[in-house]
Amino acid sequence: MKTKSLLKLSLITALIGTFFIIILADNLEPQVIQIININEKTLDQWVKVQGIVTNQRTVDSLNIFTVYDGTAGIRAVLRRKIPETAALEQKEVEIIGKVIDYKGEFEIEISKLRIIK
Amino acid sequence: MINIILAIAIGIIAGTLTGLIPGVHINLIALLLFTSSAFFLNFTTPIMLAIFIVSMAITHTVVDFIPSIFLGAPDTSTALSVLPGHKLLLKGQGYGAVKLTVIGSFFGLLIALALVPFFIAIMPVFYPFLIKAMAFILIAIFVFLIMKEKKKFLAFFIFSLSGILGIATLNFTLLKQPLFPLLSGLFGISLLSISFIKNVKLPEQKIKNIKVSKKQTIKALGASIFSSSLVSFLPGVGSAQAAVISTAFGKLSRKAFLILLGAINTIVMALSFVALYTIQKPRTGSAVIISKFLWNFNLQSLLLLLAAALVAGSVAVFITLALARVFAKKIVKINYKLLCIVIICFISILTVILSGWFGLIVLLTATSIGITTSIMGVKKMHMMGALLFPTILFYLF
Repeated sequence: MKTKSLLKLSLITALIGTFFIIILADNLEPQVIQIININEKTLDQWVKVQGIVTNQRTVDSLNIFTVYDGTAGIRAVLRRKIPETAALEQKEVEIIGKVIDYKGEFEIEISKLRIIK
Repeated sequence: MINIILAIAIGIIAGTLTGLIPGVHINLIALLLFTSSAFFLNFTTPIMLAIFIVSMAITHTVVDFIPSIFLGAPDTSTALSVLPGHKLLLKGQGYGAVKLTVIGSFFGLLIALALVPFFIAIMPVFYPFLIKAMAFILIAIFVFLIMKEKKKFLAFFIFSLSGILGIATLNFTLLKQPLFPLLSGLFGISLLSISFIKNVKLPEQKIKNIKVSKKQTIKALGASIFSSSLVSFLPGVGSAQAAVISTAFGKLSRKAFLILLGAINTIVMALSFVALYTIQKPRTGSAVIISKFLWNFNLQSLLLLLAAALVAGSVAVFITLALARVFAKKIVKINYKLLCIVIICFISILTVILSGWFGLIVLLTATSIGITTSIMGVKKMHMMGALLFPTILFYLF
């Protein structure tokens, strides 16, 4: 096969791949789940929850929130420092993270946190 | 969107580097990434890290034939390319040899992606059967290869000797990274040693195409997709075993064999991500790491990773051909005898670093077997007993 033809074909497929990425790039994140539905089945799964931060405390670089979405509350842990001014109590947040079992209770290990309002 | 393109771009760069440097495997990089994931997840998301790994892995499978063919320094998946690649290099067709592997990788990737819906539907059904049948498939292939050989006894001897070495090496608990000295010795250093002794001089390398008939090309691609789909979903088997299985499909010319090897290398990697989705079992190091990163590995995640693979594989075509051109022009300016010594020393040092001093013993032993095979005039394929024998035992017991 001629090199030019191979390169042309590669360019076309690279563009096709990019096109599919553009389409698929939306909705990458998990669907929102109600906290009341977090159970053994969701253990080790990645979830997205939206709710109000009812409690916040910091222990060293560990930020511990309690998030309530109207159905139930859950502890969510963020293992990195955030600016001290970022007090999130009573703010509505969206959390993406992994459901883990900590001393018999479910909590979310936060990967991504976004303030909604 | 920009993040995704950036992840792919960085993955392609990483895959190019790992592909060019013998002994540096993508699994090493993926593992390093995983151990430092807490740091990286401050800046990005798990899916981006997964896209980086896929892009790196696919690029690596295309680029890593360059050191295999030009330097005689293969890794696990390209070991069988050393001899046909080297023969073409000695004819001044090193660039053409690399291009054949690139054609195989590229079209293999396209075919594999096109067949993904088929694999998703069929694999969960056939998987339990394949697990039970794999040992017998490999035994049948081994018998077939021996019977095809003119020097049957010698072929069996080499297969058995390599097999014993393979079992001893893979079960040697003190030895880390056993495959590196094993396959480097059998296929790489043995060839370089012979080139050194014979005082081989590389001719001028021509930057031109090597013609392969359509029939041979289709045969190579067909065989590669069949054998790769068998091994991609099963534990303990990979590209090397897939190449051996493919030989059951009939004789391929040396040039078509390079297309086959290129295709297998990339297909096995691409389908390992499909295996992660269909049977929830990761079959390559990259897939293992991705399974630890990725949330809800659903169909959308899989399609996104495969789209990234398509982009990375396509870009890798450009990169590999450009690098092959550079290698072809530069390599004749180097004293090949000196180059052989440098590569042998480099692999030896790398063996000590990766596998320790026991790795050197394996390297020497494997090299001896490789040289013996050449002297006996037996096909180097039979040295795949080093992997086949342990794999057969794994599936039987």
